[in-house]
Amino acid sequence: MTTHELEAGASAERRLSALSAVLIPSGRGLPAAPDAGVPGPMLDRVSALRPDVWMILTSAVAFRPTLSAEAAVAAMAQEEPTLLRALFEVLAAAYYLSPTVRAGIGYHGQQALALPRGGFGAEDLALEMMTRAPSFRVPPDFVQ
Amino acid sequence: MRVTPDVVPPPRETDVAIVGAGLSGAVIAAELAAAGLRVVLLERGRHWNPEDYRGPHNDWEAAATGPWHASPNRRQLPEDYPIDDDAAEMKPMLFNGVGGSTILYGAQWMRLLPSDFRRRTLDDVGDDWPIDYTDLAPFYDQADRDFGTSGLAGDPAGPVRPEYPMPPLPIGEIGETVAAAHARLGWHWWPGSNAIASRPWQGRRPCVLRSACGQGCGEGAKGSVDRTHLPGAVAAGVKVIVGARVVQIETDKAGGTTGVIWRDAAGLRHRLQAQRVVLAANALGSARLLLGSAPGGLANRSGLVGRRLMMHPFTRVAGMFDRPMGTSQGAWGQALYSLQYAEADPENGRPHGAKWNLGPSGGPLHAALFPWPGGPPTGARLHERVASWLDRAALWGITVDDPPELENRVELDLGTPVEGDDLPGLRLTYRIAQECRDVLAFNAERARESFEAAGAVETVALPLAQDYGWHLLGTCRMGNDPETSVVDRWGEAHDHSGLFIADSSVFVTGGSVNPAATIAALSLRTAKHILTSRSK
Repeated sequence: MTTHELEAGASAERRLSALSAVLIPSGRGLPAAPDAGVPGPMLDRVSALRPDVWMILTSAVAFRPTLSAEAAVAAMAQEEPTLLRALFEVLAAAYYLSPTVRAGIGYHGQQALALPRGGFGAEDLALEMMTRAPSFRVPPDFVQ
Repeated sequence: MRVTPDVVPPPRETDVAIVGAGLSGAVIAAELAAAGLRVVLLERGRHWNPEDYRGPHNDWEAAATGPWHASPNRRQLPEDYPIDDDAAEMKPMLFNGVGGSTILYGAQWMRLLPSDFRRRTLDDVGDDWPIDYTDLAPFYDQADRDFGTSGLAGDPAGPVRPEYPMPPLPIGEIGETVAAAHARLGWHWWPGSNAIASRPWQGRRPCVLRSACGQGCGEGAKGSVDRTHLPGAVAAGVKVIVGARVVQIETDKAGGTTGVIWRDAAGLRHRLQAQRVVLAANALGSARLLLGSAPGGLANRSGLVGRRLMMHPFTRVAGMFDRPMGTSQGAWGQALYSLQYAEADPENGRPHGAKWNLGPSGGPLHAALFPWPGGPPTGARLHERVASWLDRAALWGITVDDPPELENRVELDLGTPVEGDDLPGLRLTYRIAQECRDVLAFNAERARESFEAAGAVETVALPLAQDYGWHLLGTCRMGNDPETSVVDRWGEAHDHSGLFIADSSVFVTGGSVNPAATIAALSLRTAKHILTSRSK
């Protein structure tokens, strides 16, 4: 199931969008979650990875539906912290898939780097450490 | 490498049946097959294609919250049996599949200290092992070569040892900064030792510092046994059967081991007769199979099968710097480690040792999902946290030696049947002693001081990172007395000749270091014993 197939349809999507905007608002030049495709294509990608996502979203949307999104998140933190953590996890996972967000924070994914051709670094400090006396304990029957 | 998901017909008889194609199973299979024994390796998981690993893809962090999570309860793949860990203060991490947990491990490659084998003698804690460091040293040396490890000999915190096959991976700007801080503090540090190639090595490419070891190493730089051992083992004749759930070990009236019963992916039961059976399914899986193989548990005269579970209480300390330090990438293993407090020092309030490893901090989702005090960084706080973390945060990971306790245990969860399996799920009970919590807190504060001395502008020390129960140890301890141990000094069950346990179940105490090297060394030693005893 994708976020577009949430049981309650459009109203559920609106609720999810509002919740995501509370949890991940705009700031530091970055878009709020709904403007970054959460919910939407980014959350659909996470949903494709994790079949449990729809249950988390459904539970979150159904939580205290008469409260405002801000009040619902605050109540969730008190009453259902596990659900809040799960919701935040999937929303954040989706948010940081957004190319706009990644560009905004200067994150380009994990790159394949070439190992430096020199040493490992701090060789001089390692040589100093080598001059230390052995610091491990020696059991009575230990034979090196 | 060719594995055999549909061996037609499946073998009915072999010299050695090995349960589990992870670290210990692969090591022992390679040794025995090279010596000419017929070996069948039964693996409940699947054979993963390295192209499926997520490191090079932009969903690598998202995938780690689900299908590539190291917790079987989070992953919930069909091959993962459920583990009720509600009563466990550390949550288990493991991987079922060809390569086992080495597919996801960080490959930190550490040897136990000589004192770890003699905790009873030295500290009146736990028990002494029936073997000592010297017994294992030649096998540690071989494992270093077989796994293609990188590191630097000469560490004064451990016994003299041969040089590693490869030089250490670069410790990076953060490593150099922390090393200099430790030099000022007078504290121990040493370049990280990892089963990760730092140069081309036996067909493996060197590490590209992607920091995605936890989702499988697509480069082939990490020494996971699907690359280091199993291709050679298969070439030597080992039959690897995937999707094979071993549900019972069979013995005869004389106490000898006669083979195993296993179910294939279609649920069909098969009998595999074997002169020897080797359990290599980790400290949870091997105990599960023994407990389910006979009323009261097989090989359980001592009543210790499943008991004395050790999980290494773990925590993390984050240090944030005011400038980019290149910490989004690097070897996920360890850039460097510190054994400053690795030895127990009861007179100074530290009855157990702890090991620190310095590592990178990953991408933005790692920042968001770090267990920040006060809960998830929702709202505007999220953006602040990510900005202060990305490429600027480093992590000390701290593992503490936890003494074996009888009540810390693995049991069959009889109320949780597992589809396609005759054995139920597991229930874990694991309580962390207060003295271990105190040691963890002490070390976390010192790690905070380490980062502060290195110039960190903010540090966050967690009381416990309970989701990181990577090190599963001790549920079938070795010993000389059949009344107080499950297997002998060679890993053979006291109660059943021909039944061996080659994984971390046999640990008597846990030390504080990562156990992979010791598991490999113990497996090599057990293999040598099987071969030696066969020829007599």
